[in-house]
Formats: sequence, structure tokens, C-alpha cells
Amino acid sequence: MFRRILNFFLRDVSSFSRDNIFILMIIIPIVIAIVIRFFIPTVETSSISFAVDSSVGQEFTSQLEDYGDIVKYDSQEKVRERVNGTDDIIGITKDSDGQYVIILEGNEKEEIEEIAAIVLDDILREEPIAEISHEVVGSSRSLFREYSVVMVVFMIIFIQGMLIAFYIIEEKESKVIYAIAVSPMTFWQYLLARWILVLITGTLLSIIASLILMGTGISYTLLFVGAVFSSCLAVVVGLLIGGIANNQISGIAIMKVLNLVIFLIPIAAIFVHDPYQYFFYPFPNYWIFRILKNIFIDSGSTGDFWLSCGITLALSVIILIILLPFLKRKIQIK
Amino acid sequence: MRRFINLFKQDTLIIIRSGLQYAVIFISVILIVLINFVIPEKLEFKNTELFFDSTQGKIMEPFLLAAGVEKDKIFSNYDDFIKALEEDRKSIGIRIEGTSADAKFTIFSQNTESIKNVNLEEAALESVLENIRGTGKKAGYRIETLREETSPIPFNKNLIPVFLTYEVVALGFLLIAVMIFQEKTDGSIHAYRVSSSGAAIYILSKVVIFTLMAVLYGVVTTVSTVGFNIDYLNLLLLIILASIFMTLLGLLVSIFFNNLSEFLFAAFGVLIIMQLPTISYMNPTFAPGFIKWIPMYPVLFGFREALFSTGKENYLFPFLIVLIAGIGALFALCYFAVRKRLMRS
Repeated sequence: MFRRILNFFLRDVSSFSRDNIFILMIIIPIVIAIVIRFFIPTVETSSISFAVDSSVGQEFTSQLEDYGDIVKYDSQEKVRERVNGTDDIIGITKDSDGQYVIILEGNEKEEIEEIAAIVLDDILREEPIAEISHEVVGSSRSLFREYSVVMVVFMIIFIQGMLIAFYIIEEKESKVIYAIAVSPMTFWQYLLARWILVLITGTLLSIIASLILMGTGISYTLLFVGAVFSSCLAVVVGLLIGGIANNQISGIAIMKVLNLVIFLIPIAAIFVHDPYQYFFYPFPNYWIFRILKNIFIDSGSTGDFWLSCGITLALSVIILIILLPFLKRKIQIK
Repeated sequence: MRRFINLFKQDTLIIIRSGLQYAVIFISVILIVLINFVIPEKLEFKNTELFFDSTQGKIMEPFLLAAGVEKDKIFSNYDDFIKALEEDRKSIGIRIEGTSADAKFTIFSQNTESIKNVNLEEAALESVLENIRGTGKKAGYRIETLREETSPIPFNKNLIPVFLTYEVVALGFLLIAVMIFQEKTDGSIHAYRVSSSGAAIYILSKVVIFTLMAVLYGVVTTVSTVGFNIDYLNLLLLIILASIFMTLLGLLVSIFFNNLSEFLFAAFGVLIIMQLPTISYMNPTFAPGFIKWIPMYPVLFGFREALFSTGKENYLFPFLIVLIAGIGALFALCYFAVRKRLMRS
């Protein structure tokens, strides 16, 4: 039995190598991780921007620089033109009476006007009105970085499932599935071979992406365990898409529908307040999000890590059992 | 023309048989329900502000409560205050000491906060203190808006441009590739090679199908969520041109891959990069140069202006010209790539 699974697994590996899948599988997530890694500091250090002209003077401009990024222009007209651009930028110039003018487009969020007024009040105030000091608390890692890596790893895990789906579709289209069906291989052996593939590629790529984005600051043991449990759902999703679809176009159609549920839930879970999170409990992908959240955001605390792993496994098995007769009929392996 | 119509009919039939239209209808219905009934109109992503009032007699607490600060955000124990700050990493803390005439503040920010943002927090604090003392502002400035101020766009409706950009416009990016790989697998591309139709008709037929789908998909969703009182002319122009651009881009990328599995990785990479402007869209003060170069940046803001007009004149024209030029260049590249890699055995 093990030999059969191993042979099937090796067949997939050889197929992956032939199709350059391994190279792409490694290169693309690494490129994505590198792009995000370079992008994150830009977001983390982002601040508001001011467009100024020479009328405000050098001293005012350098004071303004303490609150945001400065873009300098030659004339008030150019400042207006810049403010009229797509993004939100606060224009500051001086009129002929020597009064400062805050120029806004009119479609900005309410707080932009408030911020502009607060900054000007602060600069124009001659003396500080209170003693204000600053202390730093908490983690030096940003939530943006951590949620980015959660979503990247989440995506990597599910891409493996989708890859399996399109391999099944190819097997159906090329009739290879009939050859497998008449071989001694059972459905469970087929599933196990595919799961091992998803597990190895998913875990490896998750680790590579995490190393690029987070360095050594997380528990890779927990990531390995989390990837093992998460891959159970990814392989079920792969079997489901591959089972239903008869060709690649219908495969993509089903993938689009499933992706809506798969990716929308963790994104929504980021923004929904804790008391309402129970709405997501029936969805197994939510528990994968919780697994990754434990690893990347809650500093590797095992708070509900094991519970999330257990629920992910349980829900994946329940879905598989419900779908089993359908999948066996569609994939045609007994 | 007859050749084009025949191929168009054939391609349409393939799409219908695959059931893709049901997927599109299903996703559209889900999104309409989410936007109209589930996603709230108001959703704020502000930092949580926590206070520790250590003034004698807790003189600041009534002011804070009157300013709308929730009772559980005001701490009387320093350790509880620090613990709450460490637990909620989206929070900033403010410790108040002294008296109202001689107040001392300490801002506790998370380690990732930039110094410019901390300075802003300090300025905001001084402004609040000025209001409490009733000393008022000595306004040495005035505020001028280039156009009439518009009311804020509700959060749920503000997501429609995101959906139009990444679901409607990007529809053809994946699908044209899938169609080509499907034709490679079932061998129909071999039959096409020996026909007299040529590469241009092959590309046009597919581009027209996915553009039509995008238009239907986009219009139905827009009408169901924001109604009829919007700039449909610019909306349609943007859907059509951006959809053609993305479909051609999908075609160009897919030609260099052997099968769908290979292409999927590249496609996800391209789509992730294309999605970066969403961050700028949700927070328009964040607009680094490289994001503005991603084609989806002007598309997102173009949709926003078409749906929720702020009275900007000719806002779309310069971008549409760039888009048309981009389509021309992409079509030429696709034509040569299709002839070289698909139309030859």
C-alpha cells in the first residue's frame, strides 16, 4: 500500500518537475514575499503629505516636516494642481495678506481637515501649552506585517489545493484517471498521496515565505504543525474542485466561487470585533486563520493553537465524509 | 467579419457549457447582498485610545467622558493601563498628571509608530487641552476647498470600486488563459491553426467575450448597489477599456506557460501586485510613487469618481488615453506572441 502511495507521489513530483511547477512554486511566493517585505516599511512609516510653495518660507517648511512628508512646488497654482490629484494631500500656501491657506480638494475624509488645522495650530502656537513626553510600549513588530504574512501563508496553503484540483482535471481530460481507476489504488490511497504532496509543498513554501517576511522571530515548529493541519482542508478543496469540474474553464469557475468564501472569511475576521467572531466558527478556513494568527500575531502563544488545529482537522474530515460518495463518483476511483 | 462571428459563437458556447456564467451570477449575488445588507455603512479603523488619569481628584475624567471616551478606556490603575496597551496592539495610551493649569502628558505609542505620527498625536493633545481650557484657537490661517465638500462615502459602498476593479475588470485575466490552455488540451487550437482566420480574430473573439461579460457583470452589480444616479458613461468606458487591458495582459502572460498549473503561480503573483493600490484606495494619504504606476491605481479611483462624483472635470480622460495606448501596445505584443507560439505547431 505504502509503495503504491509513494509511487503515485513520485509520479506527481516528476510531473511537477517536467512542467516547471517546482521552479515557479518556489520563485513566485519568494518574489511575492520579497515585494511585500520591501512594501511593508513604506506602509509602516507612512504619514500624511503636504504640498507647499515657496511663500510659506523655509522655517515653516522644516517645522511642517516634523508632522508629514513635504512636496515643494514653485507656485500656488502647482500646489492646487497637486491637491487636485488622485490621492489625498494637504496643500499649504500663503495668500497676499500673509495668511496661511490650507488647500483641500473637498473629497477628503473629515479627519484630514482636522489634522491640517491641528498641525497649523501647533506650528503657529508660540509656546507649548503642556509638557508632553513620549514612551514606547509593546511589540516592535507591526500588525500590518503580521497580517500580511498570515494572508501570504494562507494563500500558499490554498494554492497547493488548487494545484491538485487542476492536476485532477488534467487527469480527467487526458483519461489518465481511468488508468488509475483500474489500478489497485483506492480512493483513500489517492487522497493520501495528494495530501502528502500538498503537505510537503505547502509547508516548505510557507516556511520560505515566513523566513523572508518574519526572519527567525516566530516558532517554526508551530508553523510546521499548523501547515500539516491546514493542508487537510486544502486537499479537500482541491478534490472538490477537481471532482466537480470536467474541464479547466469550469475548474476556474468553481475556484472563483470557492475563493470568495475561502479568502473573504479571514479578511472579514481581521476587521470584525471579537464578540462577533462566532459567526465564522462553522467555516474551517476561519480556524486556519486562527492557527496562523496564533503563530504570527500572538507571538507564538499556543492560546487556542491546538484547539484551532483540532477544529480544522475535524471540520475537514466532516466535509470530506459528507462529500465522499460524490467525490468517489466524480473522480471514479473506488 | 463572418469568421469573427463564427469564432465568437464558438467561444461563447464553450463558456456557457463550462457554467462560468453561473459562477459569475453567484458571486455577483453574494456581493450585492454583502454590500447592501451585511457590510456596515460606517466602519472605522482608528487606533484605540486608552487613558490613565493620575491627576489629583481625577479632574480629566469628566472631560474625557464628555468627549465621548468610553468608561472602560479610562484606567485608574497604572499596571492595568500598561497591560491593556500591550494586549491591544492597535492602541495608544495617554497618561495625564498634574492639574488642568499645569498638565503633564505622556503618550505611550506602540513601537512601530513613526515619529511623525507621534508628533501629530502630541499636536492633537495640545489642541484638546486648549479646548478644555477654553483658550480657543488663534487662527492664523483659513481653509479653502477646490470644489464643494462632498459627504463621506459609506464604507460598504466605498468597496464597490474595489469589487469592480478586482472582480469585474480582472475577470478576463484568468479566464482567457484558461481558455487557451483548454484549447491546447482538447486540441481545438490545432484545428484553428489550419483554418484561415488568423491570430487577430482569435484574440479579438476572446477579448470581446470577456469584455461583454465584464460589462454585464459590472452594470448589474452597480445598478443593484448604487442605482442609476451615477456617471454610467465613464463607468462603462472604464470597465470596457480596463477589461480589454487586463484580458490582453492575461493572454500575453499565459502564452509563456505550458499549462494552467504553471500559469496559476504567475497569475497569483501578478494579481497580488495589482492589488497593492487597494491600500492607497482605503487610505488615500498613502500614495507612494510605485503604487501610482500600477494600472489598477487610476482604475480604482476612476471608478470611485464615476460612482461618487466630486465634480472633478475630465478626471478620466488622461487615463483613458494612456489605457488606449496600453491596449494598442498589448494587442501588438499579443498578436506576435500568438502567431509565434500558438499558431505554429
